[in-house]
Amino acid sequence: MREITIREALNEALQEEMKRDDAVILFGEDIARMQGAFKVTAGLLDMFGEDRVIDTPLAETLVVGGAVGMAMAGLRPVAELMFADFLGIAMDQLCNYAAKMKYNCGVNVPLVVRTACGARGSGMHHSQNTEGWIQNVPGLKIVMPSTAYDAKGLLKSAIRDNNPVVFFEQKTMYGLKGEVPEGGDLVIPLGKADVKRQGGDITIIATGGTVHEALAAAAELEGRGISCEVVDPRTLLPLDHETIIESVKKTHNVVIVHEAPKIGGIGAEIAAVIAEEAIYELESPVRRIGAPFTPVPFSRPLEKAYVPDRERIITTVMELLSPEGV
Amino acid sequence: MVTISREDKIGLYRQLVLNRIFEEKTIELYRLEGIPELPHSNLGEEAIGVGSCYGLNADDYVVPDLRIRPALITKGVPLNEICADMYGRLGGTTNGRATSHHMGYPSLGVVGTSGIIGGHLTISAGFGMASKIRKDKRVTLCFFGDGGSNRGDFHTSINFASLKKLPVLYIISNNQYAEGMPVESHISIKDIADRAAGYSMPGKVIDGNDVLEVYREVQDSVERARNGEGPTLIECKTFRLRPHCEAHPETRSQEELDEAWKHDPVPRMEKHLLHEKILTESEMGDIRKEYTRQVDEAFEFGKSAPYPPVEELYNSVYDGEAEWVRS
Repeated sequence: MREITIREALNEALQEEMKRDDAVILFGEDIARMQGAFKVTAGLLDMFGEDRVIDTPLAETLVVGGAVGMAMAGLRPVAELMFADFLGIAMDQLCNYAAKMKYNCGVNVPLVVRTACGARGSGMHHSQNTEGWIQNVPGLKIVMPSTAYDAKGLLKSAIRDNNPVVFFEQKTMYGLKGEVPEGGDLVIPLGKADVKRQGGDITIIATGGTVHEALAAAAELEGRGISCEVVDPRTLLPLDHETIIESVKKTHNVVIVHEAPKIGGIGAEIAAVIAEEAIYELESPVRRIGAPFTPVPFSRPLEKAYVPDRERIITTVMELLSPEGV
Repeated sequence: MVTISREDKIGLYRQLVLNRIFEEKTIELYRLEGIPELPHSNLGEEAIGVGSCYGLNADDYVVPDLRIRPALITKGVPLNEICADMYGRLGGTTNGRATSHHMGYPSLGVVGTSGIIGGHLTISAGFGMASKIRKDKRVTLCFFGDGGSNRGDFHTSINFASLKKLPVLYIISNNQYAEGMPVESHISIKDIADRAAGYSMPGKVIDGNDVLEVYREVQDSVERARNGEGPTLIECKTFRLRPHCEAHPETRSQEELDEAWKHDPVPRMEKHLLHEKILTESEMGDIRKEYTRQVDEAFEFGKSAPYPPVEELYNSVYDGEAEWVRS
């Protein structure tokens, strides 16, 4: 099958949805002439014109607030926040408008906020995984794809969804290639996890960039006789309990991995769901791997120590399954 | 300059009276028996919402703040539904999910907002942008107060609106107080409308207690916006005759309040109508009676409507099936 990068997959999703529906417009800083800080919107200004690919001033309250207004007026804006770290600036517009207007006055807010997350040598204000900031805001949906296939199918679904969706793109992965069929209408429903690798001894639940670390760890552990199942929730809100619990019932051991800080991260929610729904299925304690409770550091060795990687996953799995052999 | 017909003068007056009676009733009931929704009275500021919205098209957008109920009523939001929302009952706009403070009424172009002052300024720019993209000739009226003008969103929104020549009117009710803070203690400039110059857009200071002036000036700017000439900042000078909310004590001097009552927009309009021989005292009395009855009935409706079933808690968090909201 054809292989394309996540960047290309996202671009295709935007293109296809803009062709499909005139109401879809793009709104954000430097997305038109500059084609996006990460070039996700490349070529779209030429294709759709400046009424549909709109550069905004440097003002995240406007990027999100303006997009909320357009969505309430019946358009389907896809706003781009250049970095997920900037989410805090637009919190009022996102959490008090986008998330609440359906409840407040029955109006749908069909809005997607795309944003780039993850550490990449850019220091504490351009590296964070901020999904934890918004994961308990009723009214929002949160998506975090890990492959080109998922990125395309999930973004197309997010655009068609009548609810506000925050779409996190791991910036280290924009160039990552994966199989995506040419043509057709690739749509992946929100709220459905994907089993990225089948296994019988332990379930590794990983999000975003850590999915690939989990897969690398699983390949390495296979050589040590441990069969890992890798589950990618893909959508963090709503969370697919069913797929997670099914896997727990199969392997009876769980490690949860994400790049956001471990404290208060989505891993805490997943662990709690497992405790509530399948604690007697467990043969070992649920272990979480997340970032330490520090800002994202700049220096390369510090950042490497910060971001959960395959070594930490391997060590944790070994601690759980063969404590004497670590 | 916009001319105002006799019929429109009567229409404007009727809205003023209706809104005054609604406010008086709200204050009275809150004192006598309580109302679940804490009233933030617009008493004395009615002319701004009425004069601004009286001449709008049905599909023009109104983005209100919490003290601009006259804009909603003038746009046509039914009194019964407002009252049901104030009491958290069925029969309102959200079956008790939300108060009337930041209610929306989509079929009348009334945009739901939030209980947090000033967040709706960028939302309003979005509505203006949508109209510009669709070339639908709708205008958006964004209402806020002197307090709200201090948010960064004020700068962000009017900069963008002026840049893109959006059909948005920014209408400030400068009622001299932001909660307890007198305007001179929190704004560095005498006329907020002067700030428009910094955004290369027109700014006007008008008498917010003169419903005819508000109507004329807003209509003038609406026409400009509809013609694609961009936004206007309109500062309506007025005075908040009640405390910030009915739960707060009055902290201002009786002397200051007595002076403010002299500029009450309702008797001012009555004087004009009598002078122009448009209405007689007795006709005005009939209008008051008619609206007193309507307002009484609306409050009776709101008070006596049933409470929503608990099931309503889970409705409309999301569009579509969302079982997980119960977890």
